Amino acid sequence: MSDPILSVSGLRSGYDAGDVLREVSLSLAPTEIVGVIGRNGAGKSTLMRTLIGLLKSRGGRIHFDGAELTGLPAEERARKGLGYVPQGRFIFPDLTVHENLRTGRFIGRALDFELIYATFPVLKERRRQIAGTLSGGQQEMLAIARALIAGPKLLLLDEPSEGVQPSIVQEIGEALLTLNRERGLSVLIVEQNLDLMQHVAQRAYALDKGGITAELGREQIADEALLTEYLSV
Amino acid sequence: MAEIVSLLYQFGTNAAFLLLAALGLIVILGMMNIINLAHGEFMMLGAYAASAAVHRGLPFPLAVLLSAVAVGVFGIVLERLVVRHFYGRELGALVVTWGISLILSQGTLIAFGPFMAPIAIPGGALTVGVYSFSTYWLFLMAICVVLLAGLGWLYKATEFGLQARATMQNAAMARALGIRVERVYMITFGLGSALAGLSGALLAPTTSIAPFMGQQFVAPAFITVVVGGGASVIGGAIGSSSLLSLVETPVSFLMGSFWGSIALLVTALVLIRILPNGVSSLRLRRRTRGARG
Ligand SMILES: Nc1ncnc2c1ncn2[C@@H]1O[C@H](COP(=O)(O)OP(=O)(O)O)[C@@H](O)[C@H]1O
Ligand SMILES: [Mg+2]
Repeated sequence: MSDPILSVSGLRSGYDAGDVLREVSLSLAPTEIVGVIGRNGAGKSTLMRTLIGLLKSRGGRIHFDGAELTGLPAEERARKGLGYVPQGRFIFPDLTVHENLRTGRFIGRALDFELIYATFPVLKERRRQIAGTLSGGQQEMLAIARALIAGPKLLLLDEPSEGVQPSIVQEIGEALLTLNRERGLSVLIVEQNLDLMQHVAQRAYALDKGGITAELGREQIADEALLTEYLSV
Repeated sequence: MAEIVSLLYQFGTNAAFLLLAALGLIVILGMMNIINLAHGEFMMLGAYAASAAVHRGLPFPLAVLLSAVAVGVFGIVLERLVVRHFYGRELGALVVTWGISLILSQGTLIAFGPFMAPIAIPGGALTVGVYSFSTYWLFLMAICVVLLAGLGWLYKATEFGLQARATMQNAAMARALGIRVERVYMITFGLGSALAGLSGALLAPTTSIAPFMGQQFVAPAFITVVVGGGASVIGGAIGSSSLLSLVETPVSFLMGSFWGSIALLVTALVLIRILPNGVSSLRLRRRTRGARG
């Protein structure tokens, strides 16, 4: 196996009330799509926020594409090729679709509108529309497109199916697989939607109470009953 | 006929004064959500810099530009050294900029005494009927149009403007996309300061130049900002300065400038009651309704 594009060891972080992540270690090979599952409050979003750097880590190390990220602010991590799509999307509501896409330019090299419009054609139709007036599914596509448009090396994707209609969830899944196959995009995806997880993930980590409790391979991910167990309260 | 021209001129003068007084404050408040209580003192510094330069023989336009740059640089230095440590703590930023305002006005009093020699109003007068109009105020009205167009261009058409608007809407998300938010804030504070310096310099010939002169600008500036609202920074400024002067002008014309100021205040109070989110919220409301319908 080649050198991992992302390797995390002993990561700790949390909020004022105390630590949430406790010694999380994981790694991701280039062109891998890896899932993170776990019930509500397990710390999945906290993990994603700590990886992108919106939340300071309190211990441990994050190594990405040959560089040490630990201690770098979010904007510098993004500039190293880390695309982040938060849970809840957080598109810029008062900017147009096109302007939202342009804000993604620092994550990689040049803006590739063609790729984005080929992947999500509806964004082309609506490029002049104020983003806050898009439907939930369209906003999710926009948030993903914004993170992808300059060609990141790794995409951090936090619950893309939340509040999104099934047909668009499927479209997003296909887009991820295509970009992974054709552009070598790596993805770390947090997802509660089992269909999407089973469709895209090659491997997955189970997260519970801020720690990794299991690593699942392809066959285990295909096992619906097992996944449900990891998700159940 | 001459009356109408005169009334229009008064209206333009009042609106230009409100806009000039408020512009720097609006940029910093709208983009960074920081209430810069030292805004009036930044204008005072601009007035001092311009008159000092003119007294040393510099041409007035050059003196004005120099003042804007000087106050802008001063603003950036203050932002780096002091103000940035108070981001995200609105009350803290309020107190610290108030402290800066006290230091600046008292410091100016100690350094330069209670008065600075005035500078003459450049330009002459135009006469229509029995009325005469200062060409300088006509020039200031034109400057306002240029400044507003320039700001509109900066925020709508440039890469910096896009980054600033993204930062204003969600700073954390902007960071996660690689936007250097700290730099956006620094430039914005510098720009707001430079605009205050510019306005102070431009208004210097029209008023007496003294350490506490900033106060005369602060009240109208804040009224303009509050009435304008935050939904669209520049649109709000245009809307509120013209609405306010639309009321102030005829009242001053008929009853004198004291009652004009009272009318300004009352209008502001009424407008804030009717439109708690400011004049600019009107446009936004119409836009979202249109998008839904
Ligand atoms: N902004 C926050 N401030 C304080 N505590 C938080 C914050 N966000 C999440 N938490 C807490 O951290 C824990 C993990 O939350 P989160 O990472 O959002 O879980 P998940 O994404 O797995 O549902 C929860 O106990 C939650 O209450
Ligand atoms: Mg979550």
